[in-house]
Amino acid sequence: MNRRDAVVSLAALIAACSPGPEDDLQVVVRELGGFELKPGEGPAVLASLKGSRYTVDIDPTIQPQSDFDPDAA
Amino acid sequence: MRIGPAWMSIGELGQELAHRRLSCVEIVQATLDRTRRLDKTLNTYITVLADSALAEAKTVDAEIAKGRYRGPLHGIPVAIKDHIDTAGVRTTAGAKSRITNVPTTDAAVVRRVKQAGAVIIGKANMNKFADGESGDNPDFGRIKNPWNTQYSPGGSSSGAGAQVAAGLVPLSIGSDNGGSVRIPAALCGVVGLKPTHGRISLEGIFPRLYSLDHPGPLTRSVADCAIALQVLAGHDAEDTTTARRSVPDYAADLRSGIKGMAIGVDRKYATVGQPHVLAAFNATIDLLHRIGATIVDVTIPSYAEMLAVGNTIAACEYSVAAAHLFREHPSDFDLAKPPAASGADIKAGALVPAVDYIRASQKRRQLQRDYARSTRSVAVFIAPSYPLAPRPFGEYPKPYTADDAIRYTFPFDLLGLPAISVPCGFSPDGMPIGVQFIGRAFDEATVLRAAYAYEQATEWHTRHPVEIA
Repeated sequence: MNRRDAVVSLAALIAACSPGPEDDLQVVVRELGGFELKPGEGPAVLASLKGSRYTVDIDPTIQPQSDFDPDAA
Repeated sequence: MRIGPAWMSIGELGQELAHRRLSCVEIVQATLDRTRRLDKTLNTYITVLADSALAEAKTVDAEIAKGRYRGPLHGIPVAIKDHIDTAGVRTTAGAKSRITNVPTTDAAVVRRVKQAGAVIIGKANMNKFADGESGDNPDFGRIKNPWNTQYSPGGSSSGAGAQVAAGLVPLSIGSDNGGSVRIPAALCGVVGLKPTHGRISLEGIFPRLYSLDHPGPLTRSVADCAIALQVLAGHDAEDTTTARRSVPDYAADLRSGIKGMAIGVDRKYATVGQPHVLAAFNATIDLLHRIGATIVDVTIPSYAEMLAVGNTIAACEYSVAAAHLFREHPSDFDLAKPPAASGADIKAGALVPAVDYIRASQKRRQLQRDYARSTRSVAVFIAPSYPLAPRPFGEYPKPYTADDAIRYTFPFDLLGLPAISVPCGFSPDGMPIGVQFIGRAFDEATVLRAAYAYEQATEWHTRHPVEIA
């Protein structure tokens, strides 16, 4: 599986809101993170991923925060 | 009960040393004796540097005898959280797997306190990898709260809070990325300052959350905190995140009072917590009003929004910072409980799309603007430090969660704003409670001034734990 396919597979897994075949997730985790899944760890990884995403639409003209100088904010 | 120099402030110890009424060797020996006696129970240190501390003390005495008094930290015993590099001294970040890690250079904050003449007593125990606030380190043991040794001191600068509260040192340097200076300060009844991001260098400090990490001092008084910040603050060419702004004289306006100062409070934000914690907070508002402050109701951005943004940023940054640790010693993460990150969390962080991180960073900027707008009319904002009073080790009492635990601290790491926790009362079972003063970016001086005025109008900071037998 190449990186693009891995992303597509990951997107499908997240969209399905279910662990899906653990083998697929293992490939994604290995390809994108360089980690190995422990047996049965898939649901915990997906639950953590869902809680870590930020998908709210935001004004695209805002510069991402990169410093804390109030004059720049 | 006062026991020799143990309960003296940095200012008092400085006077004793400068006028040679006490020698540094006497102070350090007393410190080491007290540590030897109490730390068997409290477990606040991972490494005690008895020999080098006494050698440094002799050097201090020789310098002062020659009229070379360097200033208020000269000869002052200081402890350093054990994820801050110390040349030639193991620096574990609270993990036994890193026990052979001996840095060859000091972190910037260590260089600064050494240049000021402080004597390093040792490396403080902490939550493993500066993650979580349980005070429960599976590798080096539980750190005990000096007010009740069955209770947690909070974390992740657990040893720092406990050793300052127990009179083991007047200054311990910790770090904060979700509340790790302010939570143990609150739960141990001491003062803890998280300055503006960029005010103190992070160079040489074990990175956990790159854009959320803040080093900060824990002391027994606001005045001592100002002395410590004066030494620690400033630009560092080795840390590009440090600001080039000049560092003001933090003592200059410390005692100017708060008559007429506008202090903001968001009464809807400050609704989560045990009744006695919220009662202590409300009593703080009343006292601030009585001593001359104008209390102004404000509405800051919602905690849910700030938490969502912070969670994404933290997940990504920790996945990067911890990846090598996880690959080398995956079992180091086996016992992690929320809010500490597990192996599954590190793997998940690596899968978060880059666009999510960028969106969260954009929203973070917007939250900074929104917060600044909503607090424009006030000099400082106040909030509880922690929703719970100190409690036995283990789970959060129902209905509180890990998200509740960092409700009052994490937002100000996300916003990068200076925030100090000072004691504001005690629970029915005699455990300390803290309140925070939060300021505008780089305006630590006003934060310290407001906190000092409050502290001086109360007697909470004068109480000490009963001596451990």
